[in-house]
Amino acid sequence: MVTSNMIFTGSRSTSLHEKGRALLLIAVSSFALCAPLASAQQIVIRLLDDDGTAVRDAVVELLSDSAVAPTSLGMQEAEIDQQNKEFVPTVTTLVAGGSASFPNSDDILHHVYSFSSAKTFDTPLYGSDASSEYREMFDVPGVVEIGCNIHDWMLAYIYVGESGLMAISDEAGEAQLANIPPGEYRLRVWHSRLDAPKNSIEQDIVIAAGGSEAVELTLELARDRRVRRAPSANRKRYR
Amino acid sequence: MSLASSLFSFRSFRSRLIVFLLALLIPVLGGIFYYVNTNNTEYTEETINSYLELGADVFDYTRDQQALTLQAITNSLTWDFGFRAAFAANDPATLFDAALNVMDRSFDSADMLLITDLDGRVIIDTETQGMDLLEGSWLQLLNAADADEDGHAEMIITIDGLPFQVITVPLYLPRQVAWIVGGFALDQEFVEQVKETTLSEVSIVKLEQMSGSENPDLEVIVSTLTRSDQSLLAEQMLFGDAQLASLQRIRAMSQDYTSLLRRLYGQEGGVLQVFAVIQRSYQENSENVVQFRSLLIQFYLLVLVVSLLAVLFLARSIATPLSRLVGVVKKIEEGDYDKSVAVESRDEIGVLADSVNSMARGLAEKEKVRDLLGKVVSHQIAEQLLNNPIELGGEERVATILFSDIRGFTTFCEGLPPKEVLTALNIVLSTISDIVESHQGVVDKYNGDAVMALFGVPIKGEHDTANAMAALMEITQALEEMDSGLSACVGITTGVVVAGNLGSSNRMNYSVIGDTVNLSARLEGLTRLYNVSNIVSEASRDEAPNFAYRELDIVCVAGKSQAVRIFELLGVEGELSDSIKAEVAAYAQALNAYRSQNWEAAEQQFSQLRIKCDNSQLYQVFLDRIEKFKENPPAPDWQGEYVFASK
Repeated sequence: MVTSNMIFTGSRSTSLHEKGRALLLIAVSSFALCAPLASAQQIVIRLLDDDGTAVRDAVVELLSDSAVAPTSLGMQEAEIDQQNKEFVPTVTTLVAGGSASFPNSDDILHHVYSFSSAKTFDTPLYGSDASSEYREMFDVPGVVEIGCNIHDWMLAYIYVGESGLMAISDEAGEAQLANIPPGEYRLRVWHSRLDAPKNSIEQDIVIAAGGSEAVELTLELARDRRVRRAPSANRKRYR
Repeated sequence: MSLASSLFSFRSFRSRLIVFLLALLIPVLGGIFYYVNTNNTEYTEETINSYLELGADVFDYTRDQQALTLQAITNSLTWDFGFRAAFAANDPATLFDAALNVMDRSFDSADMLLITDLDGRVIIDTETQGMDLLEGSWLQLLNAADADEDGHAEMIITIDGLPFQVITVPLYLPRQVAWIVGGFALDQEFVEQVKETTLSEVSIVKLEQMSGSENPDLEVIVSTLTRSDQSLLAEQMLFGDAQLASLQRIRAMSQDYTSLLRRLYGQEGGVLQVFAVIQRSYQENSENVVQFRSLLIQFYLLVLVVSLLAVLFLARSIATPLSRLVGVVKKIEEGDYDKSVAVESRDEIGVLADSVNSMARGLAEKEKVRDLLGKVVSHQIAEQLLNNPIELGGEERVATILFSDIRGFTTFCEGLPPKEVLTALNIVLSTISDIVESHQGVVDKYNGDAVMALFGVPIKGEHDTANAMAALMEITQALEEMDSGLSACVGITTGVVVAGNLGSSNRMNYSVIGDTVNLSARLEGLTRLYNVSNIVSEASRDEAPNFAYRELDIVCVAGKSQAVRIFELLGVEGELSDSIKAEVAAYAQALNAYRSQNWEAAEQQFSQLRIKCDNSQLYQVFLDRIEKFKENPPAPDWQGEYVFASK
């Protein structure tokens, strides 16, 4: 007997949205590959926007009451580089308690800051020499928006998660999570343009033992107003 | 017609020229003036219009420029890390101070700042309007900004009745967290600034539709105009979409303004509408036109004066020789042909002067001929000759012929040298001629001491025969008064004569011929026989009834078979003395007896007359005839006529 290994109720999905609009549509094209390995669960979440275009740089996280304490996951360390006046990568996940460093690969100075409630900090102006390595701890779960006070267009996000079960969607809009213990979870999807409170939506999901699952979600993205990159220096009149 | 002729009848050539000059010049100059003036005025209005358009553009440009400045300042503010930190600190009081600082540093580019979160909750408002959530125009502004890619929007919003140019800038931290709205007031300072650039008056006017009132309240918020002009503007200017495209002329205290309207805020019929009014003084711009107009008028006056002078000169050059000609012609009219006109010009006037001169010469010559002719022939004949083509032949006319002879002239001449005789004759003939002419008679010819005069030819008068009678009496009296022993004997007849030029084609003579003429000579000859001073024919007597006559006889003159009754002119009717009357009556009685062949009675009566009266010769003539008739009685059909066999 094959049972649906994905539980989804429409009413629940609408409850996710304060505005009462069906922002989250889940394509019920889920499929289950029944595998003999009971402990090796894999889930692929495919994210598309209204137009059916793959949504990249979205973070998916599985939350569970019985999830392992983050600390048990060990100290995570991330690195957000600054290359050619851009943060690389633009989206980084960290389990709460993890840290990130902000190396400067450019030959000019940067001034990295955040006014996000999850983590407020700012570095002094610093360059690329080894003596100036800045590392920040991220203890509080949430999204930290990182900017550079010199280059207004520079923007990066650190998703500080509560569990270790996080993935970032790739260019195909797919986020893969492997080795997930079966059980009931809340699936949280965050994207910087997601048109929802805190740019995130959640829904319950049951991970059955064994096999692999694929879930396709359609996200409604808001128009993003971003600061345009200033003209490059060599196009300036004065050097 | 009479009006036109009286309008265009000129007493002088000069005034005619002047009137024609003016009639020609004034419409032409007037037409030019009208054309130039109209074009100039149009051009001025176009200029004013373009100035106004320019003013409106500058108004907009200044507004845009200030808005850009405001934007730049506000934009810079959002990138200020301190400001960002202050915003992140979530302390409105700090933000408020930061905002005031920015305004203070903005060199009046920013007059107000307002910060809201992305949901439109007001965080700070330097104008402290007391809004918690954005509303009305502010919400409209943010919606417009939200729809813009860069988050920029601008609008004019009134705060406490004062219009503000407001702009929006998003605040990034580093993602957008808030809207910053900056504004500057379109206040007195602003309109003064626009005025400085455009030299146009600028006003900002607010129309507010109060609930319950029919017409919107109109308020001039700020203006570069004076207070009184502002209220005049408010009274006269019309505000609405229809007026946006057109200019309005406003009559202010000291001058007129051409006005252009710009809508700054609100819509037609909306609760609140704000307009900018850009005005330009009409007089200021039309100064050039006025100056040009006065220049044109001066030029016209100059043209008129020069033309008048030219016309006067022209008129003088024509009128002076003309008036000289007129003078000479008048002299000629008076009979003075000696003057000649001195005109040097070789134009028509010169030709005319030459003609007048030669005419004067011709007239003088003619006059000379006439004078000479008058001496040779009578003046009236001279006129007749001069004024009619001289042809041989004549016409039948009724005329009275007077023949005069001097009795006793031969005796008078005896013993006198011929020259003295001629002198004496001339005196007598002159006297007779003068008398004849004074009675409109014409002396036809002299023959020795005899004069033949015509009355009624060549010019017929009304009393020709009476004139002849009067002349007769005067001649007789004149010769008696001369007291030289001379007396006149005159014969007068009236009848048909042939009058005209007699002679050859080379040499001719105006005269009369015919039986009447011959009879006249015969009657003159008979005066000697009857011893009377004159004998007139019956026809003559009938023609001049106002004189007293006595019938002398009935005669058949030599060569004539027709018997004529002959009379003696005694004087003017009613002036005869009683003795003459008695003699005349007695004579008539005697003549009657004679004609009825009562010879005895006739003889007796004539004898008595011969004894009693002076003219015994006359009565002797009849006594002689009676003597003969007694022996040889006349024929039975005898009527009393006496036949003269010889002249």
